[in-house]
Order: sequence, then C-alpha cells, then structure tokens
Amino acid sequence: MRKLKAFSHLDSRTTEEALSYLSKYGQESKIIAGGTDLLVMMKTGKASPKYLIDIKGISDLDFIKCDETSLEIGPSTKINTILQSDLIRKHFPVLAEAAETLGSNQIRNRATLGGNICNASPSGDMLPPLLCLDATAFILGPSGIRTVKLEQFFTGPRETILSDNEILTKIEIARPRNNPVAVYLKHCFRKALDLAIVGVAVKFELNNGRYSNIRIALGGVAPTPMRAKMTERLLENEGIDETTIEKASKIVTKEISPVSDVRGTAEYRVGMTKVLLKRGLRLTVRDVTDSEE
Amino acid sequence: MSKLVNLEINGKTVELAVEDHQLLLDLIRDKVGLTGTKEGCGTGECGACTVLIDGEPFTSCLVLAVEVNGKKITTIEGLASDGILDPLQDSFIKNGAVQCGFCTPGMILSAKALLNRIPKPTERDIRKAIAGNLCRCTGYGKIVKAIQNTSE
Repeated sequence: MRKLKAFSHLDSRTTEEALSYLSKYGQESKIIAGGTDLLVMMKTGKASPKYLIDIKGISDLDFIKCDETSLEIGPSTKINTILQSDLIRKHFPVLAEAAETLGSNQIRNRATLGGNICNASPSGDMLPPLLCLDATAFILGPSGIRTVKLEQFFTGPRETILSDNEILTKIEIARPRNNPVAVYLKHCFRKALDLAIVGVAVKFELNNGRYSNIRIALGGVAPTPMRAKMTERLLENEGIDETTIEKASKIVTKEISPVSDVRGTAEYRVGMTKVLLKRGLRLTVRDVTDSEE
Repeated sequence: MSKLVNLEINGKTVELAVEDHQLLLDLIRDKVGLTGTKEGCGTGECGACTVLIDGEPFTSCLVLAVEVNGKKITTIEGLASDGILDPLQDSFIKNGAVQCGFCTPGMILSAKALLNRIPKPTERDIRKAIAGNLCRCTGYGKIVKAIQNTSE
C-alpha cells in the first residue's frame, strides 16, 4: 500500500497567490498540477514537501491559443487536451503525436505540459518535439516575467533553471511561414505506460525545394533532452538523402552521452539513436514528398 | 486538519471529512467502503485503481481526496442498476474476459468511458483505450472481444 506522508494542500486561485505561497514556504513547498510525477516521487520517498501548492484552479494557466504568428500553451494544459486539440493537430501535429505516447489515457487526463517540462526527465516525451519547434518558456517570479529558450531550461536530470519562487506560465512556439514537417519516435518496450529508452524528434521546413531549419532533438541519451546540433548542421549543409542520412547517423553518436540503466545499456541506446534518426529522417522526407504529389 | 469535500459517488451525494494527504483510492475503499476499486501498484502504472471522474478515467491512486470536491465519481459498483448488470459487465462474463478479476473493475470503467465516447470503436480504438489497464491473466484477447461485442 503506497500512502503519502502528511502535508498541507493549498489551493491557489491566481498565479499571484501561487507565487506568494512559493515565496512563503520556499523549499518546503512544491507546485502540484496533475501530480502524476510528483505524487509518485512522494510515495517513493524521493520528495517530501510539507506544502503542495495546487495550481489546477488557475484558469490563466490552462489554455491553447493559436494565431498567424504563434502557438501558445499554458502549463496546466492536460496532455489529453493537447492530443485532442484541433489547433495543434492542424498546425503542430508532432505535439499531438508525442502526447499520445505519454503514459496512458488515465495519466494523460491528469498530466500537464508544464509538469512534463518542469519535471525535466531526460526522456520526457513532450520535450524533444518542443525543442525541435524552438519553444520559449515564459517564467513568472517576484520581479516579473522572463523568457528562456527551452533548450536553456534544462540543466540536468530533473533539474531546471527555475528558482524556488518562480512558476512557468506559458510555452510559446513561433509559427514558421512554411508548415513544418516533424515526427517523434519513442523507443520503448510497451505500447503504453513506458518511458522512452530513446526518443528522437526530427523537424524541418521545405523552402523552395530545400530542407531548412532542420532540428533534431533527442531524449534519453544525455542528462537532459538535447539538440543534436552537429548533425543538424551537416544536414542543413548537405541536404537529406540516403548518403547524408547515413553520415548523420554516425555524427549523432558523437553528440550523445547515454548511460546504462535498467532499460538498456549505453551501447544499446547509441545503436537505437542511429536507427531512430535514420527512420525519422526517412519518414519526414517521405511525408513532405507525399504531400507535394 | 480535516477538510470537507462534497461529491457524488455512483449517483449518491456525500459529504466527507478528509485529510489533505488522503488519496481518492483510500477514500473510496476505506471511508466509503467500496472495495471494487483495487490498488495494484500505487503509482499510476497498472490501472487497477481506475475510476471515472465526471465520466473520464483516472488512476485514483494519484488523485487526492481534496481534489474531487464537487465531482461525480463512478466506481465499478456504480455500473449495475437495481441488480441488473451493465451490458459491458454482462459481455465480460459471457466472453470469458475475467480470470482472477483484479484488473476487471478498472478495465471495465476504461471501456465504459470509451463506449460513451465512441459507441462503435475499432479494435485499435479499444486497445488504445485500455492500454492503461494491465492484465496479467487473460492476454487481453477476450477483453477486447467482450468490449467489441458490447458495442454491437
């Protein structure tokens, strides 16, 4: 029987209220949205906050907005809401694709985008696609709002640049002129309820027949989700064809630093990164070719 | 310190005093006495504790009792009415989809939520909907068949 130790549950109606609780209780407090990561950590003794600051009631943090310039998602948006959103399926379907791989239906009814980001697991499923889309994080603290590119947000396994008195308020993704093509491939044993052993997201735009703004983001192969920038540069310079796909699969191995754990050895992760990168590149090229015909 | 929550469980309104750290799963089993909902893993990874909250499936081991104030909860006990089984329950029995029965309450509720949303699901729809409910006995074949047979 997994029970929780006693704590105080504090409902917040506004972000200001949540911030003032954070300032008051500091390291003794944790923000709870869906709780699908936090409550597990508390049940397994990895976290023991005395105060849980519940932000589910803050409607300002739960939204999906899209106009011609950008997509904005609030941190309390549930993963299933992202999965089912017509706006996201139309303009950034890779986010819906990644959402579908996360946990299970029951978990997705509860888990939030902000939770996946702030929990900062190296293999978080929403993270490689967000990195490919050059997402920006908006952070609110006592002195106001600051923005950070998501690729600077993660500092280590389960570590972020958020201070104890700050809260994520928005994720913003600029809409490119040409619709991006992107894919997220998650390598895991089960069809659901599994973490990514390796996660690969590939994205590019097609500009006058040229593959541009190529992004490759990887999960599960480094202390944080990461961009494979050397590999991106290679493909940006030399294009995407079977020769460069082979080259890319070799270059990418120099950029990653996986560890061995219960889900696989470092060598296995290196091997699967190569496989999934090639697969991701072939799929995206085929997708864009199909849509041209 | 106790808080009062008002909620509806299987159509009945109740007001209960709960502790901040109490789980919905324990509220249902220990306080209300409905033991059809099971604890399998306690970490949201098996689905045995699945209940419907406002019609949607959640793993109740990861929901706090204080979070369901004002909500409608459906447990497995809420499906039959006046002693007559829900067609889904009937189908599970007729199709041999129950072996040890431990996963069954959660499984049926996930299936019920699916059929409410998609009355005629494909096999793929069904397998996706129950992917969060692990069964160690049946191999899922008869479970899928039972759900398909209900929708016809």
